[in-house]
Amino acid sequence: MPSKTVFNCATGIQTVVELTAEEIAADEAFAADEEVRHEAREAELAAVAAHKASGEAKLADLGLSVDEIAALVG
Amino acid sequence: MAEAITWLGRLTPTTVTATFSGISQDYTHLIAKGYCQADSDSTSAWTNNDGYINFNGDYGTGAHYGYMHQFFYGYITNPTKQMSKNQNATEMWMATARKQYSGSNTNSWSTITAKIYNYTSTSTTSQAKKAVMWWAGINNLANDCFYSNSTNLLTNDSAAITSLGFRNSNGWVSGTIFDLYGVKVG
Repeated sequence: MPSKTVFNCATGIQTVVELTAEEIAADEAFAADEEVRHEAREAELAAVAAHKASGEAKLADLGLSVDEIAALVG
Repeated sequence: MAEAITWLGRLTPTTVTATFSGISQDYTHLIAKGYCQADSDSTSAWTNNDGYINFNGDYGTGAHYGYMHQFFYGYITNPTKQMSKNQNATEMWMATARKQYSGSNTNSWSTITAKIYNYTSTSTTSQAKKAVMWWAGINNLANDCFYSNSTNLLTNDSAAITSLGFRNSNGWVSGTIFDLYGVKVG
């Protein structure tokens, strides 16, 4: 049975309790598209990296040195 | 005007979700701090393993508007820095270290600080509405690092915050801690 850790600030006691059916359903719904969101973040990073590389290549074609490009784009 | 900060408690979870419940409504703001690692054996090249914050059990998929996050991602061995942002995201995400990932060591931990302003407010329209900002960082000495910076105006949520949770789909490793503090202003 899935469980969660709860610290009750009113009592100062931590317990591990089983999830209710409602909580399990909510958790499953959240987890269902978690991988999709994760992949979207990775894809966004990959796209940013590709644009950065493309931009740096164009700057190099203009005659900028590696150090000059680094100073411009970090 | 002075601030008084009171420690309200510590979570030491190994489960997927970890929640502070029964949060006193006697303070002005809340601060949460965490030192955490996801219990994941994934071999993904990404050191981040996706953590999430929720308020009153809501991860931001419905009630919360105005959320955005941005994160920085950089390699030590290959000094390529990247920045990404996501406005109107549908979850309250934080960069979270995983136990291990390919090509690096197994001792990457993440830290998080979250500040929740006006957490007792039930207003959705006034300047007294709730707002949250959180920062999370992963620093893996052998390879890459992550930093996420997120903000959320809880403009569509009329309930005062009585619980605050942290989630990672792989659970948290032993040694993970989350501390909660109440800040009283005045």
